Amino acid sequence: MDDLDTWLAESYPRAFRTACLVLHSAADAEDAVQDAFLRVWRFRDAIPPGDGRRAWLYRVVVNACLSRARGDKRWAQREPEERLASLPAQADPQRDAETAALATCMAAALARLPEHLRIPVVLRYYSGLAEREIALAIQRRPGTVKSRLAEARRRLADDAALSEWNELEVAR
Amino acid sequence: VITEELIERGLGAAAEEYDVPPGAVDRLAAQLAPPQRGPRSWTHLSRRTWLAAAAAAIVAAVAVPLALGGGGSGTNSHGLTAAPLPPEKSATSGFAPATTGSGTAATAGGAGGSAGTVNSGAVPLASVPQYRAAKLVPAPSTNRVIKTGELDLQVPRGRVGVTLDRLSGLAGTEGGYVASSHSTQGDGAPYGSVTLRVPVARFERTVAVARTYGSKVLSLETTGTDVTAKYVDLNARISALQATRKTYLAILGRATTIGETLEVEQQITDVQTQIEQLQGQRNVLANHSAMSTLTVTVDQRLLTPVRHTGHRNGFVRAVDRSVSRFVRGVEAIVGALGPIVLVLLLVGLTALVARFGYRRLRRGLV
Repeated sequence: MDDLDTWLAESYPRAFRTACLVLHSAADAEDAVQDAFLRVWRFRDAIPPGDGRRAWLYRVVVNACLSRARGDKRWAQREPEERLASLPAQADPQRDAETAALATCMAAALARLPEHLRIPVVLRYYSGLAEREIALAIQRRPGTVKSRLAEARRRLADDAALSEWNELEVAR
Repeated sequence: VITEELIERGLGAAAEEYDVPPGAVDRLAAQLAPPQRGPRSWTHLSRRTWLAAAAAAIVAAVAVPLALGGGGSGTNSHGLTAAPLPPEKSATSGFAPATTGSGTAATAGGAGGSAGTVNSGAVPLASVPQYRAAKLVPAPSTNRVIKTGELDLQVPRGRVGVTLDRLSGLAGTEGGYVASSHSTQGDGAPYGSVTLRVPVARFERTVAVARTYGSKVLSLETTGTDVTAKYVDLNARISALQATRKTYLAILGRATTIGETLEVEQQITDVQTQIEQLQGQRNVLANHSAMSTLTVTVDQRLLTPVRHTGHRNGFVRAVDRSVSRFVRGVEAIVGALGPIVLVLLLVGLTALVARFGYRRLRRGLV
């Protein structure tokens, strides 16, 4: 199981931030990922071999997030944490300011997405899962994942703040 | 259309704002690491060893009381065989004395003891004074008998409601309550029933009083089941499992890795589930043996049915006959349609075959 421990330790940061994007809360995300990883370890015999194990891990993480979110009735109204707006000073103030603004806009837009659209978007564009892996992770067909991603992109494009960013990006 | 690159960049920026908890990865790795192969101590035993130890503890907890108190098979630890005693005759009301039961002894660890109805079976060892005096069989603290009865009363016309009210009052007088009650006052004869729950000790008296409320007792059926042995057995098993759970909790306090913790927790969960199931069964037994159930059905005296013998004139009879013949005619037509359809099918098939053969023959001639 050394290989499993190493893999879990390497996967922790990305899984943690995935949970943060889904739950908008670092504390809840930490608990959810902790639960998920313990569950993965407990049912380690059920981990599929090969490439399927990444999708399996995110499936457990997503389920842990959903369990935590549905147990917290305030979650639906929760806003992204305020500390997103404050960034540590770095070498390039101009770029830092842009990144901070983009992060704030994206977090707000993400929070407005419904749960069934938010999770595929985070898994695809942050966690880097392929559509087939997302389908395994959320227990839906690949066609459903594709349509949900398209719908999520459409809604993000309709977001006023993000559309300005998009125009700026296209102009560049 | 928003670009995927912008979504990736935005999500990456938003995610980077969440700092990974310092030391979380190390803590997780330490928790998931397999236990160190140091000197083998009793807290580092394998899961199989834990299971074997738990099974041995449970067996010992059940076997020791059995060995000390005598088994349910009729042979005690001193080699004395319980001689089968003649079964007691059941009482008229359906109840034998509460000490009667099945032919096996009710012991503190009586896993082999089984509950039996009080109407049949031999006297258990626990009720034989010399055995109890010799302490070969521990006497149960209280005998537990589930008593139920069904009484069907007939009352004069217009007395159903009053009788139901009196029965409800009887339940309160005897220290019980009305579990359910219903009555119908439709076009037919009024009818009602009431289910009384009264203390077991007052069951016979309640039945005796209730049967005086009717003008006639149509039926009376009472049953009793001695569940003392089963109740004592449940108590013993619960005690044994609680001891096992206590042991596991002590082991849990010494667990050092997450693997050990999870394994011991799983064992505790299993034991706790068994305890709760047994406690539920014990509660049901305690409830049913504390309060007996008597269902009383109250019927009004049946009236002699009046046969309708009205005179029918010739015209009505003719119409009836006509309708009857019409129906019979329709039935005959429908019945005849089946063979006709079959014949038509056969004729059609024959015609097709003949036509096909004729054409082949004609082509052959040409």
